[in-house]
Amino acid sequence: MSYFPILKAPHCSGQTTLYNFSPNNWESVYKRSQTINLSYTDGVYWHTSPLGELAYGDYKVVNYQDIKRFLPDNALPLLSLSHNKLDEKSKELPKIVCNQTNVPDHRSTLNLISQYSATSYQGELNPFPPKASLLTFSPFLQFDNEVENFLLFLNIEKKAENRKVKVEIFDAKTKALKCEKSASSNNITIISLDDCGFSKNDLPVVISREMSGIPLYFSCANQGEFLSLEHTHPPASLVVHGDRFAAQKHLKNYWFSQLKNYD
Amino acid sequence: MINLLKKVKKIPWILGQRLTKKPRNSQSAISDLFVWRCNQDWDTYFELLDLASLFGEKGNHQVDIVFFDNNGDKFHQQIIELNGPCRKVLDISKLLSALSQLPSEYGTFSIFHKTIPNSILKFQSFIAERGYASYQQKNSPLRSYIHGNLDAIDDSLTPLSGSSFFKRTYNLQYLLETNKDYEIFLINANLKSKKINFTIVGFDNSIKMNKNIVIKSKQVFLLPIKNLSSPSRLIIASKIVMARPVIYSFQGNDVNVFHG
Repeated sequence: MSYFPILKAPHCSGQTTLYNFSPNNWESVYKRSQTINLSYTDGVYWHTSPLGELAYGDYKVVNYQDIKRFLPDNALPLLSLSHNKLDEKSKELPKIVCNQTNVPDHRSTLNLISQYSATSYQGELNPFPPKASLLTFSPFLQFDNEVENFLLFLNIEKKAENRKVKVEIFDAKTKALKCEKSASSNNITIISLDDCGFSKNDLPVVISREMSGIPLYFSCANQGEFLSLEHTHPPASLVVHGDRFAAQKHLKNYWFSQLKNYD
Repeated sequence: MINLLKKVKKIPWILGQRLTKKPRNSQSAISDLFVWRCNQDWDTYFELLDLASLFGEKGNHQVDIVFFDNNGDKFHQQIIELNGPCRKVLDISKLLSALSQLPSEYGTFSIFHKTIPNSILKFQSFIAERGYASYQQKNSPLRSYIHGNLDAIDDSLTPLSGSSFFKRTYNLQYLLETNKDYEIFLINANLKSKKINFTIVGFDNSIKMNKNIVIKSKQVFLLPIKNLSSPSRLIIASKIVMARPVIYSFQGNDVNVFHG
């Protein structure tokens, strides 16, 4: 049940490219046209409307500018492809009947476009459980002149509310809290990392004790002339085989106990 | 019932065809095969994290970095000391330029952590370097990052990717545009050579390119794409379980690097 967000970032506009063909030839998919849907939350309900049909084998580019008139300010636009008709208004994120593959996952191209350049990653977004947390090590800060660095904290959950949580950013070596920000569920929260006081050899650790999400790191130079975008791995990716999620739990327990909660 | 049928139909595609095989040695370290590029236009970096220290292991730790040329042949190896839970940006181009002569302008490298945290052994897992490489064109103030993706090779330099019984296609869900140039890198992390077919198909169904190659074990292949006449997509057919490429997209002075 994947959604495809339209991203946002300073100096850029979001653009998402959807594909109605399978990423492989061996996981069974529905080879017919699908409905393109746009969903967003107003904080109380999810609202969904069809944007059109996408023929099998085709692609569709959707710009933020194309759909912003359908959304409240600052709402996260979520695109989806579905075989079923989605409820126009719902308390929970609509359940999508769609083409699902695993090797690889069905993806879209999530672009950030400035007047000079573009950057992207291949992504999809599934709702996170409400009782989840985030731990990530983030070595992406760039320090040249005219370079700005941001964390784009991307989250969706089933419930329509926009709950606010604390995002704490520590120095991995000293365990010192460098800055504290807030993020919202069902949104993309833009967090500047340039005012946290990190230097080149510091390894930032970003944690959220109350919400999970995809931590995207976005850097731009010369107000958008050069762009860079990548996400960090969840801690389970530091190991392979065996009980990876026990390893992730071990890492989270270790770091959450080391990094003092200042509440 | 439909779900059961779907599962039955998948069996010939998954039975005995794991994406990543387990190393024989239970204390092996695993790494991706990251692309390095080093010439007058490109610099390559790697964000070297002390993974053992992230798991709470005290003391001094090391990694073994192994370089392969574009044919998959090893040409350099060295030990690097880590600094604990700090950031260490490894300047791969500087490291390679210290060698007398490079065998090629691009290739791959792997990083094997020499300390395996006890917690990882307890969970019968393997430590894996799937970290972050970055590439910088000489005229750019920014590096473009890409995360590791494959658990490609163990520290005995044995490739770990599984093979498929049948030919599979990897249909890249990415729009190749007419106003951009691309470079596609595909790495064979299998024990054996693999036949690969690259097809670029226009969304108008015209065939723009059809290329057959054989990639040796650990070899990296570079496919340049230029001057497309209409929006297109890439299909990679092979007996690799998941032939996910690395893509460099060029626009103006900037480069965008990402996984398929």
